[in-house]
Amino acid sequence: MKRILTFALLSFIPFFVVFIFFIIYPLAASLSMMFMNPEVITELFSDELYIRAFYNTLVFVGVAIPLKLTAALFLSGFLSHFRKYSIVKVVGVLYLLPWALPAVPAALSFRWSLNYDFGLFNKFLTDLGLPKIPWLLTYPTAMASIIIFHVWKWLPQWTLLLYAGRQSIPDELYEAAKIDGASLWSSFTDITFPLLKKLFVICMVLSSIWSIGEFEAIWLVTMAGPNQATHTITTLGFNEVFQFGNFVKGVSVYMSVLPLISALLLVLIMLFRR
Amino acid sequence: MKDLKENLLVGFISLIVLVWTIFPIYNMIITSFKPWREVWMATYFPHHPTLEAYITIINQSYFRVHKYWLWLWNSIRVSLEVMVLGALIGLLAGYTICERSALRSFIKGTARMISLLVYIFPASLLSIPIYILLMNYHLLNTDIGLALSLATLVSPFNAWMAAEYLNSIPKEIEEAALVDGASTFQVYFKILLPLIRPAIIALSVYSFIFSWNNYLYPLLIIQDEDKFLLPVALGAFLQADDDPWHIFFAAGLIYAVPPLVLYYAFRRYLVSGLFRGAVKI
Repeated sequence: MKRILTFALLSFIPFFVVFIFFIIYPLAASLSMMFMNPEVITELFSDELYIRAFYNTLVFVGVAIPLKLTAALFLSGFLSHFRKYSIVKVVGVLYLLPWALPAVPAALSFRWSLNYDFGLFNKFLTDLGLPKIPWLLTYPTAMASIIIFHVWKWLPQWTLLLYAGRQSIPDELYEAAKIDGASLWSSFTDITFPLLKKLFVICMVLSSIWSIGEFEAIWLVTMAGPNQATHTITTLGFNEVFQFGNFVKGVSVYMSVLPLISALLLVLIMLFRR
Repeated sequence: MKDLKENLLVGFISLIVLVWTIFPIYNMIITSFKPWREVWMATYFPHHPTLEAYITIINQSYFRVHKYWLWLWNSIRVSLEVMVLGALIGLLAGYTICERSALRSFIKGTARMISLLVYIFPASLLSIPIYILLMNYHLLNTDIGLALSLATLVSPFNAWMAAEYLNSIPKEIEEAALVDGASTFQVYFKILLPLIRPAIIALSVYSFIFSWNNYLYPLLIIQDEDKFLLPVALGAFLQADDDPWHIFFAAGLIYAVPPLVLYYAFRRYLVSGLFRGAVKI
């Protein structure tokens, strides 16, 4: 059927056009803009703020992703294993709220809750008799605030994905393990994890790639503060363009993580192929 | 005894997850019902609950919400545009990349790889390159510039979801219709698309929410105040921490209603769409 072939090719044209126009062309233009100004690149690598932003990006990804995915792994197991409880059914419906809620009001709700004097987090700590934490006022606590928001916002999506992965594991395996007297933990280590490992690793890599691009968590929760200490690649590049109109520098900041992204993409493709 | 222990444990973990999930939303709700002076007191409940903040928004009588309804309309319009464009591009591309597609494996593989890479590449890193492009073509501050950028970003997801559903339709249906003299175009729109209605619903809702919730792209692309989308107007609220948070959260809650309603109304479609993808990995 030659006609089917033609249509299958033609139907890709709209996608291909926007792909060339909105992805390839802007990327190529940005790269050439960067390489036509090589002095900006050398300047970048001696710029203290850039080095800090790059370091922050690595810290953010290195802490937030393992934390989020481990939590997602256990939450999906909780939702799946105890699904007969009615309260777990309620949790199963409500835990997805952060995913659907727009980032702007949610992030700013965190920002307000984390306020030193008027925020509910510190109110709660004081009520428990604990000292207040200067959430947004010092570098380590501000990084922690960013990570807490990121995990809050994106935990549901990964939990759902891992939950779906768990559904493909036949129930008989667990029943057999139960008859053999296996504990919950050993059925996790002997059945669930080996079968879920590949999906879990893919989630780790995929989530790392996306999290390098995290913007709202920093821009809205800490506003890159205190004193520009929590800038990441995305907010720094954005700031250069948005605030200073410095296109070449902004673009160079963004493009400087392309090698890292490409390496992770390669790992991901290899994982898919296997 | 074991049952009691398990009950307690399950109840305890559920409680923690629920508090963790709902806390920021709870904070928004209580703050939005506080009068201005009470915003500056950390309390778990508003002591003198009032609709002051909501009335301010309805009357647009505070300068940061003075065009709230216009911005709301802008958000609705752009999201609908992204939904239509994204669905159209994605549904068509889905036909190319689905497994039953008749294309040679090299071409199909390339198309699949392209759409996968676009899906995985972090959207925020494309924002400034796209911004420069739109600036050069004088497409800043236009619906079409913004809607096309967002539709581009959402279409690979749509294509994969469409492809997942198309795979489940037997090839014979299509071939029989072609033998009967229908054109491929007709077969696609009149036979295949109606058969994958759940996919169309899922990807349209997904595109709408994606566009509605997006902050970075409208923040960069739209600078004209009359064309602001709600998230940008809301983000501009907070230049300093002494802003009226009760008005902000009331405005934020109204803005959060459409995606939440859509999500819970179409949850079944969205989740089953996501499930199909995940199980395949």
